[in-house]
Amino acid sequence: MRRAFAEELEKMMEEGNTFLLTGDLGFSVFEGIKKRFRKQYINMGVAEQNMLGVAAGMALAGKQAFVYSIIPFIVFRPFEQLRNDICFQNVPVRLVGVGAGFSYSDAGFTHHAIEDYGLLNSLPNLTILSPADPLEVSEQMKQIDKIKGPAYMRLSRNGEPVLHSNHKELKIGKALEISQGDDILFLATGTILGKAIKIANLLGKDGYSVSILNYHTIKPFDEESLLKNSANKVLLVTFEEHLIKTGLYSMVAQSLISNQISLKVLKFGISEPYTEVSGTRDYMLSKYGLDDQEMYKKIKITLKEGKL
Amino acid sequence: MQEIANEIRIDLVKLHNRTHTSHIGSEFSAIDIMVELYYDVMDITPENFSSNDRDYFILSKGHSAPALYEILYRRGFFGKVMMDQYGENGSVLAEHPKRGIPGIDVSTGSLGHGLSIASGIAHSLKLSKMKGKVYVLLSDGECQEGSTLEAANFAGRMNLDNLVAIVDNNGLQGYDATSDIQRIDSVITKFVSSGWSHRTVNGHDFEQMGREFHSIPFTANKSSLLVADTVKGKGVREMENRLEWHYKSPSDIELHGFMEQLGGLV
Repeated sequence: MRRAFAEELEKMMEEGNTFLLTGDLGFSVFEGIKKRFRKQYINMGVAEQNMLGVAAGMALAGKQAFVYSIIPFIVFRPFEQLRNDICFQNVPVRLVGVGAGFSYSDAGFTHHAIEDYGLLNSLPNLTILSPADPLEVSEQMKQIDKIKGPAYMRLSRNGEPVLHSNHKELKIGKALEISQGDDILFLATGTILGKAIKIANLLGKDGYSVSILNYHTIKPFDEESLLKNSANKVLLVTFEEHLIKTGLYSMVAQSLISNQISLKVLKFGISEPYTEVSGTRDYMLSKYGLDDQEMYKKIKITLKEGKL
Repeated sequence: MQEIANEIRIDLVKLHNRTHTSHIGSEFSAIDIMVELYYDVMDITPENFSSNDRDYFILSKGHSAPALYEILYRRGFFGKVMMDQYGENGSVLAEHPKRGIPGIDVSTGSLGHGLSIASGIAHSLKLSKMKGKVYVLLSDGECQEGSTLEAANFAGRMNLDNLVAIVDNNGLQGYDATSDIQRIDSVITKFVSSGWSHRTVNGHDFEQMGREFHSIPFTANKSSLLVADTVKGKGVREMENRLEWHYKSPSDIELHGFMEQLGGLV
């Protein structure tokens, strides 16, 4: 995902008005950019508050700045600069955070990013992007110029597989339909979409047909697609590598309640904010019940309880 | 210039008496600096404000906003009706300035943000080969913010010779003497060792300030730090160097005496 981002960014930087500000990160990702664009690439050092403030100033003076770091250091550390200087002032700064969910699993909780978009959802004017695979990153980068205000892109790390072939239909702000079915609606955001697709295939063999909507844009939240696709479904399932209570599930729940829709909802995400242990990404995910088999079983049990 | 500043002080006494809002002491220490900048130094007008080919001013110590509003109103950025709405329900003129108000480039209010934003603008102007300078007014207390020092490091390293940071060194911050918290010399040392040039000036002496501002950059290829020694509450004996005027507003009883000292009563 990082590589896909860097490749698209390098193309954008050719016209001269786009800048990359990094918080001293990007080893093995930005070497090409660093070499080619000596003025447009700035290592801002380990000083994230200043990095966001400078980016805001550059945007106020007509430049487009991409600001890059690991998610906690670009979201939590300089949150007030993000709030006041970038979002309230509604300037086109592009924040790119690497390390979605447990991407940096074994680095420990300081590097985990499981509450970022829940927090960012409360900020005005900000578009929140949560792509699921490298091709979605490329597609979103191609469209990012159309976003007039600030944007945040939540990247995983490296080596993520391509998950589907509908990229040409991706439009920022609109949930992307991955599959169409009659019984169950899956909503997913980020790389966990891969697990949702696998589970949908298993359920397909059991005779259930599943619609999958990919929320590659978290904010603005595409309520229209949710409402359209939830009609006549027996079960709705949310998938995210983020805290449930402030995540995709909570957005879905709010939408359903405000539209007086009563529907059985199963939620897959992170149930507690902080972990005492670390391990591989798969280990961390399974600790929170987010491995394929576990989720598949839970869905089957719920379907039986619901007497489908 | 002294007359303009005095006139504004008189209007601010009335404004704070009417609205019971805070920070008149910090406005009175900063007003002469801002009058000097807007009337003698900077090229910012209602006509060129929508272009990038001009100077920029950022009030990083956002709590002195009413003094800035009084200047912008007098310079024709907005009318009397808007000025008179300060402190009223529904007014866009809050106690801290917001981008979108005619003449305001940057929203401020939380200390420690202005120097970074100013550096970003200054760097962009240089890249676009624009001649404008960026002036940012900081409070002395604000130099305690880590982000201010992060920005000082960045500006120094990028040789932003079009960037001017002015510190309103009135010696009193929110709840104590600034020197009890951090000595101004330590601020100067940090800026200078980050690559800035520095001068100190009497922040109530227009001639001195004019001389310094017209010799910017103080040193070629360096950002300029001007420490302006000022008096909190300058111009009204009862307010001068008194911490409580960070918060208090003149009462109806005080109004008469204050106006008299400022020559506002015939």
